[in-house]
Amino acid sequence: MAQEPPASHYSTLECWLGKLTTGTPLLEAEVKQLVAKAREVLINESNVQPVAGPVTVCGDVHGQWHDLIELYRIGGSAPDTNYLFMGDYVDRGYYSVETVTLLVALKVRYPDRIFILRGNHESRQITQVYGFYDECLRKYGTANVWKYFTDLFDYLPLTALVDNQIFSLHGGLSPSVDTLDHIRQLDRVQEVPHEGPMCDLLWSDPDDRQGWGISPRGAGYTFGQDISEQFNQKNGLTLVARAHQLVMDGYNWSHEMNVVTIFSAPNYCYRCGNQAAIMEVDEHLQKTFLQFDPAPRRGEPHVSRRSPDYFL
Amino acid sequence: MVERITEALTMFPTADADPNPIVERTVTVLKTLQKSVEDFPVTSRPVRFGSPQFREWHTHLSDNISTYLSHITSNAPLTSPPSSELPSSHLELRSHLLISFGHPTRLDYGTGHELSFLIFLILVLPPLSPPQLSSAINDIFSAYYGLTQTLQLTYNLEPAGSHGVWGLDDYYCLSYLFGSSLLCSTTSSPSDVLSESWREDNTSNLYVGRIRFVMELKSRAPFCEHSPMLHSLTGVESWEKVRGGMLKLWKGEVLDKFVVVQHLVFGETFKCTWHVEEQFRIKDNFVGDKFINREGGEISGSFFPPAGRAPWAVGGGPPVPVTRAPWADERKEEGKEEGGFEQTKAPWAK
Repeated sequence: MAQEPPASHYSTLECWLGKLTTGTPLLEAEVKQLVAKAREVLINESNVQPVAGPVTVCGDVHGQWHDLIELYRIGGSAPDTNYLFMGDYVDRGYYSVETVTLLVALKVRYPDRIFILRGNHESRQITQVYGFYDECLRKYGTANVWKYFTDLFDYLPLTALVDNQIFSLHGGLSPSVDTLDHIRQLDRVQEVPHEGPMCDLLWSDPDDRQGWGISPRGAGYTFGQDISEQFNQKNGLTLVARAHQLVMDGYNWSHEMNVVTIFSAPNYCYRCGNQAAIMEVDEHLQKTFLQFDPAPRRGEPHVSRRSPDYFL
Repeated sequence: MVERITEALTMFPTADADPNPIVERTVTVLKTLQKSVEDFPVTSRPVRFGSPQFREWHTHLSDNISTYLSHITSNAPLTSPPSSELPSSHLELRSHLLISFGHPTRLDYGTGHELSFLIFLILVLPPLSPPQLSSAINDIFSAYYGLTQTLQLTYNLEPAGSHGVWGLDDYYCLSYLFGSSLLCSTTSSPSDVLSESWREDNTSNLYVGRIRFVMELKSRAPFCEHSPMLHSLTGVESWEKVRGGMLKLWKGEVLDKFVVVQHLVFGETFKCTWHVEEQFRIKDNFVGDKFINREGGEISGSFFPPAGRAPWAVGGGPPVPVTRAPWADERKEEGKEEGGFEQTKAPWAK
């Protein structure tokens, strides 16, 4: 394998970004270098990472690389547009490797222009069930790339705060957390736990019912409008922006505009028929939603018909 | 038993056996249930993956299950009013049938539900000759897949534990095992799946019918992208090899996976034949349709286990106590005040 110069060299990064924006995965050794560099960047970010507007806030992508490229076409390319992604880059779709590598490379190249939070799928256990692990094995022949990325996921920030007003995270609120300072004190560098505040932030959903409820997902909680209002008021916030749930229009207001859900994977799982959306927030915190449909395809992926092991 | 079924399907793919009345009545019940989906239309726009109206359909199933079981086992009319008293022999059948169509809390469906239906059939069907068995499996599963596909489409049920595009199929495995068994004695080869006209000519086959369904549903992306494993099987040399591999896959990915079989229900007829180690023993017991804790108190009126832990949280010691927000009054229980926050500090936290 060819020796690449250290990833700190912008020329190397630009070369990698060139590959990744055309859908070519990096070599295993390149992923290793990229991930090492990304860890240095992410370790310095806060559990509640401050983000300055204007910024475009995005929800789940789930390995839909073509649609991520469409998202950039609609929202503007990096670094001309600042982006905040709220997790779930991998699993379900065919191109989790291409998707997460591109986002991490952009983060390393433009650390102050793109922010990537952790979703409930950025976890060792979930990716072994929902496809990213299988995809790495299939595309690289070993699980090393899966290990590099899932080790990196432990460093992703849990939440972000846009101009001290918009609290962004993947899932939702937690009964264990009433102030942002509680989140700042969590030790986030670990696998997503099965219970507790860090789990809830990545798993919870808003609900029409008041108060806290048991989540049908089996992890996290449901929270009512009373909870959102109190949380926003107590922390001086105007909005909780979150992802995690399929919404047919790509975005959905709830709790009398205390919460917005943003979902950026159009026609989720190749069959849901939903639109995707992103939320532009300008310097005055005005919000504009841009919706988009699945990207048109040119050609088919180059896949082998190599039989799975059970059929050899 | 599954090996016996696949052998029967392979040897007698077009068996025209004398119809068994239990088989016929099972098909009737499945078709009745499929029709009943129309009575529970989706009225709200989905905000989560599955539509909550599936729960209404499932309640209908649960309310009428004694009528359905009596029809299948003893030809009682389908119009009989539901009975609250089930014969003890029906208790176990009821448990398996109730979890055969998807989970009403999680609003999902997967190979575990497909497996529960197979167990139900194994318990309810009388001894059958191989040609009878072949015909029974084909007839009943065709109706079963008709019903479950209607449920998936209508209520947008989430694929339970799906490996995304990297699994065999979002929902099924046995369909492919049984369908490929039926194709073993034909002159076709697995690469024929790529031919639209061949698929049309063989649409009643359990393998081909499912492929057509998937291709239609996911028509906006290429077959090799949304279903790479099914696509790669078109390169396997014979249906016999597909059948052999599918049996291994089913054993490896369904029977041997704790996350799938942890939901199975065991009883007098379908027995739990192994010793459960204490560390994996669930502290609450399932009795009839209720969960009973060790002291004998009922935990929940629901048939299904209470949620609250992550689905992958297997065994794994006592649950971590969760701290509570000061305003979370609804969850406050008497005499159980929480202490302060005990949170560790990240190395970079100032």
